[in-house]
Amino acid sequence: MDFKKTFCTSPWIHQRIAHNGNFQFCRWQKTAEPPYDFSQNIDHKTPQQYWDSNMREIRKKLLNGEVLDECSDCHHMEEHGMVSGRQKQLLKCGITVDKFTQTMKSSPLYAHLEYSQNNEGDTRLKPIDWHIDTGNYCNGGCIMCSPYWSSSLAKEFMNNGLAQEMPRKSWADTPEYVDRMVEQLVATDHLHYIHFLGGETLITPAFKTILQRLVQAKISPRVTVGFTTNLMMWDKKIIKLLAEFRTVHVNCSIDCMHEFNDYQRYPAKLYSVMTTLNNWRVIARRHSWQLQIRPTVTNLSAWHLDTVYEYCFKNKLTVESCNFLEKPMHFRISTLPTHFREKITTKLEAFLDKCPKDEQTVINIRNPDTVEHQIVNDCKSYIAYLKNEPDRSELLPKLTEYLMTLEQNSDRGSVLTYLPDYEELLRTNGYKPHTN
Amino acid sequence: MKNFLELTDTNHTLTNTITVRPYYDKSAPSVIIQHDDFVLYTGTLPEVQSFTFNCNLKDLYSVKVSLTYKDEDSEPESAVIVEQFIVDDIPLLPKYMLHSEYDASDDPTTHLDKFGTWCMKFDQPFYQWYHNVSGQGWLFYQNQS
Repeated sequence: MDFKKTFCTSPWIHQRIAHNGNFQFCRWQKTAEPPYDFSQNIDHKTPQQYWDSNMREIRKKLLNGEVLDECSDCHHMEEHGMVSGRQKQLLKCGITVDKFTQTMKSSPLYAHLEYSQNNEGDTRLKPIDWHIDTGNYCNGGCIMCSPYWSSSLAKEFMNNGLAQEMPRKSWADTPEYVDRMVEQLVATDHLHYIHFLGGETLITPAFKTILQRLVQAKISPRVTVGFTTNLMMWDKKIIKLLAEFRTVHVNCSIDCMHEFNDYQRYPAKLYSVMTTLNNWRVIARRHSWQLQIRPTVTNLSAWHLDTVYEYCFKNKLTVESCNFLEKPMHFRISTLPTHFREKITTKLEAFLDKCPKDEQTVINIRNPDTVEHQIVNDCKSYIAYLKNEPDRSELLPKLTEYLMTLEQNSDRGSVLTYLPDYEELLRTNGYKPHTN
Repeated sequence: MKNFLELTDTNHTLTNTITVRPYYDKSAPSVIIQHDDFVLYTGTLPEVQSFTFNCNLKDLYSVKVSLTYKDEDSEPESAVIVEQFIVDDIPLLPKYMLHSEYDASDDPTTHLDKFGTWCMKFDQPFYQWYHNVSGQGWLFYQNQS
């Protein structure tokens, strides 16, 4: 594979700590599956030790032009024209794929890359862009989520038999580990960005604790904070804390502007979610923060994906679907048979008909001047996926079995109530709604 | 290209092309066109003309067009227009005109009708400059407050 299609600067600027305390070299990397290997965990390693040892190997491999399996999500996104994490991380270093050689050699990171090349992947840099998963505290039980990301779902899984044990508690529940993490952040001179992900960040104690500690350390005015919220919570104290930072990226999880969102993001209610979204928009405007919509597009919500684009286009909000959903596999859009894909494609193309026709690839999704093009690009990538991704409809019986298990919780209701267009498809693949 | 080592072996220079168009009836204006202090052209400009020069990727440099003569009495409206400036196949005008200066006017313009010098200056390596002016967001250490 051509070097310009594989190389990424992320391991020179970025690091992640996952919900279970395991360090990862990238927020976009394919996450490990349970049972987890805890050999790279904050319980016995500092963030800096992981950066200096394990990530050194990653840097070496990337410089050698190796294709890393962990990077396959990004390659998959690029295959369908979606802006990948790799492209975003390259851009933060001034590198673009279309002018790869020139921009690499002009990059302010270039001398550091040369140093790493000559020193077995070592670097004198520190991660300045962090992704911090704060654990699984969550009031949501989204159908495509897992107990490792949602405590509500964990309880439900124990009740319906999908899990036999609760996930291990979050690293962020241990004050010593939070101290370890904060020490790393405070000691980083050029610390630029921290993205927090839950569970639901706004109810996760560690989110507030880390923000408070960064404010106390007086580094908040130079740090940008991003976080993702399910729009089911509102916390004025946290908003006040966030205002202490250089700027804030508010990422709102909503999968469609249709009642189906209530089913996919149970127990969210669309009217309430939209009210909270509007409140965040007011706050974002007041503080000059940025607000993005982050849909998780499943084979079910894809039916109403056009409503997200319509809403965001009208309101000039970026749509950032971080990748094509890969897991759980039975929620992949590629499980949809051709005639469904065609119907969804028709809806998306109808949306595109109303948009500007000039082509412009937008890598910096946070540029307010190019929001419309960014939305068009994202929409086109889903059309490409729907048209070209190989058929995985053999997974549909697994989907219906899974939905029926979740629906043992009668509060969730039947998927058919929210998505009547799927009735025939689901029933022919074994779906039967529970009768009360 | 398969790896970083091969990339370090490549040698890429930036090709710059500036195109200037005279606007006159009978008496062509005169100009000096410079890359930094190196004069690319000096003399009258009877017709549209392009000038090309190369520089290194990390050079900090400027390109200047000076209007040095025009017949102010009989053709006060005559001028020189900086029609295009292309760096490494990227056209910079009119999109980035705001990042140029014309010392005979407070407003950025490429229509030079007064004696003076128009200048586009890259005080960072070109691609870092371009990253910033084209709204590509934060750049590793460079535009961090």
